[in-house]
Amino acid sequence: MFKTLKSKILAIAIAVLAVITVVFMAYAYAFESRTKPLVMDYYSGYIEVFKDEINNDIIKIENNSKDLALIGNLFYKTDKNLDLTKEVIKKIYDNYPDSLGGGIWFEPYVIDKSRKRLCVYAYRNAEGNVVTDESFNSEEYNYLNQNWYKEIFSQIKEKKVDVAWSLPYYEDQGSYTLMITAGSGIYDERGNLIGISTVDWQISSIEEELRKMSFVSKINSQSSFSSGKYIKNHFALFANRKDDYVIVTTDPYLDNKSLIGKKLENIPWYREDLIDVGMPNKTPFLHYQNKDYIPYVKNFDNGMTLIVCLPRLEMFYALAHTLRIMILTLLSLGILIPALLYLSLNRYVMKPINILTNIANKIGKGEDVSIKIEKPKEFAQLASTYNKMTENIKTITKERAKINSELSIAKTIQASSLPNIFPPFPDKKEFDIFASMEPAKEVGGDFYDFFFIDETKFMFLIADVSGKGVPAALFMMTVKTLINNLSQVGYTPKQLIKIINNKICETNKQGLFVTMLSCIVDTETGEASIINCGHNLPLIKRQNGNYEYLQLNPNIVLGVFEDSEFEIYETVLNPGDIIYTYTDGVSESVNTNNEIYGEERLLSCLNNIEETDTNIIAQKVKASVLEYADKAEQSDDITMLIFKYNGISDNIKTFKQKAVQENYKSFYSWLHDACEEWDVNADISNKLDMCAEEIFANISFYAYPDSEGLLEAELKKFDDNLIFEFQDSGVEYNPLEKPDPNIDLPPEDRPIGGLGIFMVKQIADEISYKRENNKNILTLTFKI
Amino acid sequence: MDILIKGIGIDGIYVKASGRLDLDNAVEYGTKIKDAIEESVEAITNVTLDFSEIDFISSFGLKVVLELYKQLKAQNGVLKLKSVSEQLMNSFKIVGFDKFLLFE
Repeated sequence: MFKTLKSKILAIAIAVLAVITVVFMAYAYAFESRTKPLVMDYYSGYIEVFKDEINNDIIKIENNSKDLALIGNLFYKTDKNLDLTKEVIKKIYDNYPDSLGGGIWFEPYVIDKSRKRLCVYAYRNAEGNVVTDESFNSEEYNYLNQNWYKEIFSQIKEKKVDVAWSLPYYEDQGSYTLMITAGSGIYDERGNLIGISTVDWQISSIEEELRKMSFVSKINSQSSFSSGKYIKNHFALFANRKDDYVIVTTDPYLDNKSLIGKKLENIPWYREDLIDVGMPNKTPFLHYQNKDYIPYVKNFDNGMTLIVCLPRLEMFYALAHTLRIMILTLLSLGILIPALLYLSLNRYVMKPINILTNIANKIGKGEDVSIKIEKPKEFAQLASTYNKMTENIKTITKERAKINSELSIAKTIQASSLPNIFPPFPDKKEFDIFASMEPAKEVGGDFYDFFFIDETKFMFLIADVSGKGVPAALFMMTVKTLINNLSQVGYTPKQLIKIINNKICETNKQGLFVTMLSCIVDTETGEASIINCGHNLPLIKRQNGNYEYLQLNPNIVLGVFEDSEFEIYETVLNPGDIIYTYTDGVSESVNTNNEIYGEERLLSCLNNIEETDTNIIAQKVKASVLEYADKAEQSDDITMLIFKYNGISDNIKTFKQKAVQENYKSFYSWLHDACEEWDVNADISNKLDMCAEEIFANISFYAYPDSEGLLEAELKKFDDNLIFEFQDSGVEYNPLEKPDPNIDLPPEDRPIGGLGIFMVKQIADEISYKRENNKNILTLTFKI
Repeated sequence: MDILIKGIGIDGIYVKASGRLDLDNAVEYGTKIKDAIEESVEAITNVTLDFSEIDFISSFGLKVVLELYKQLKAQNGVLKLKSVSEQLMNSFKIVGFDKFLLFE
């Protein structure tokens, strides 16, 4: 993740965006919670102003009522001049135009023992003049029985209040309006309540006042972030909480007229515990008509209450609007800045880097390119450095190519200096030899060689020069030539190896050394001298046994100490013995896990090879090593040399002719000659004859149905055994799979054919068949 | 291969050959005897094979002998082998012919 520069930059940009967002969200949250109380206070203050206006009205009315009560008292105490009092009241009233009307009202017979009712009431008539009305004294009206009178009178009497308020009522005498009335008590000299004064307050004017309230959504009163949006859905309730009734309400969801004077419990949202707001966090929301409202409760001294309900969403519209603008502004900055950063980095850093990468790839592929980047300056410099580098690489590459071609020539020369035509001595039947070198990448120091040092003595060797590369290769060539020359002189093996060592020491100025395994075999007798100079131990297979490591005492490596003595291992090879020699390129070949092939694996590999053909052995071992190495690079030369001793050629007779019946005569003559030469007794010779004829007939009749092919026969004499081997490259056929005939049947029932191979099986002491290299190979063994 | 065939009495023949009875000669040997039997006026019931000069008999030779034996047996005839060397006898034994052939 984030491996490329581009993704890193992108990640940083996203991180910056995330940080900005988080910081801003935190700021917005803080702003909101800081601003909310301010907004609440702003509305609260605004409503306070309304409250004051209404409060002014109340005070005026109450003062008015007290004034009137004073006049009533004067009227009672003085000469009870009714006309004068009327004029005074009219005059006073003229100065208090806010009220509908007002007057003084006495208890029965208090002023005049002959008059049950006495009142003076003034009001403003339709023409705007203040007049008094006598009709309230009438029997029909009988103010003493009116609710408002009784309410005010009893309140003053019982609670001893200065001013009392009536319930809202409908005045049906003169003005036919809804009103509430405030009143004060009139007392005699002994303090008995003898009447009341009244001032009327028209409810429609209160409602008008309430409806005048209008709000604009703002963050605070000075805020310049004002949307100027009006709040529409607010409403108010004006009530007398002391006596628990509604004076007027502007609730749009209710029938306001019918609620006037009703108990507060008729207002669905009203709760007893509504108190003044001022602590916004504690403000209870009213959930009413699917909206949240915040109630502002303003109490008056006389027990009246004004509750203004503001819809929450609209209240905070300005705040939300402001927050929205802030969020959009800052978020767009938060996106824009990282985006610009990313784009500019992409343009000024990533693009030049991509160009340089592409060019570098092309240079890597050997293309001749140059870069042009003008901006930014740093990359222009880098580009010119690249161009210089490309020039240098070109020069170096040319030189490298030259050296490489010289090295590959050296490698070819080295490889071709090793004998590589097999079999090297086709006429020599006494032994088979095969050697191969699979060179590693570099020229290396492995080599092998073989040659006759006199008519019968054959020398073969495998060696590994220390180090690698050209010095090792040159040294190897010297050593090889040296050994070859010295071997022809006629020294004994012991002398020869000593001289070889001394000569190598002489020529060795670089402190290199050679490990070598060499063997000198007398091809007629099988006598062998094996010398191991610090080399890997050879494997030997004795005739029909298994391969095993030949435990030789190691001698010192060649080229280190002059005049060293070497121990020589003397043995006699028997026909069929095989010596397998190799260099550490075989045993120390590694697989992809860096584990070596090892000597144990080599041993078991060899023992799994049934073939005794030296070429096939080499191929199979090489295949096993390469399979093991899998895809691991070959680090060292893989070199091996395999020698198989057959014994002197007199012990082998071969026959090779076309498999046709015409050649039968020459075939059995060949067999007879061999038997005579080897003094094979008549009985065995007869057996050989019978088997040979049968197999010859089989091959010549059936092996090549559509063409002509060869029949090869080989007769070998080993100690007490005669081994008779037949080969043909015809149709695959294993005669041993044929069922035996029943020789106990009476002759009449016996089939004429099928006797031959049965006979062969009976006669030979051992018989075996194998199919190899597309050949049928049938081997018969006879004990002499 | 020299093959000598001569009559013995009216119903017998005597066959003497020299050399190898093998891939090259066995067929010729068998054919000549069969021809002699067929050409005879009288039915041949008695055949004597002289092996004194036969050096070697292969499975092909043995096959011819078996055929001859079967042919004569079918006609109630008799096949006799004469002067069979020990070495040739071994060959007959290997295939179990010694159990039914008449040796003189």
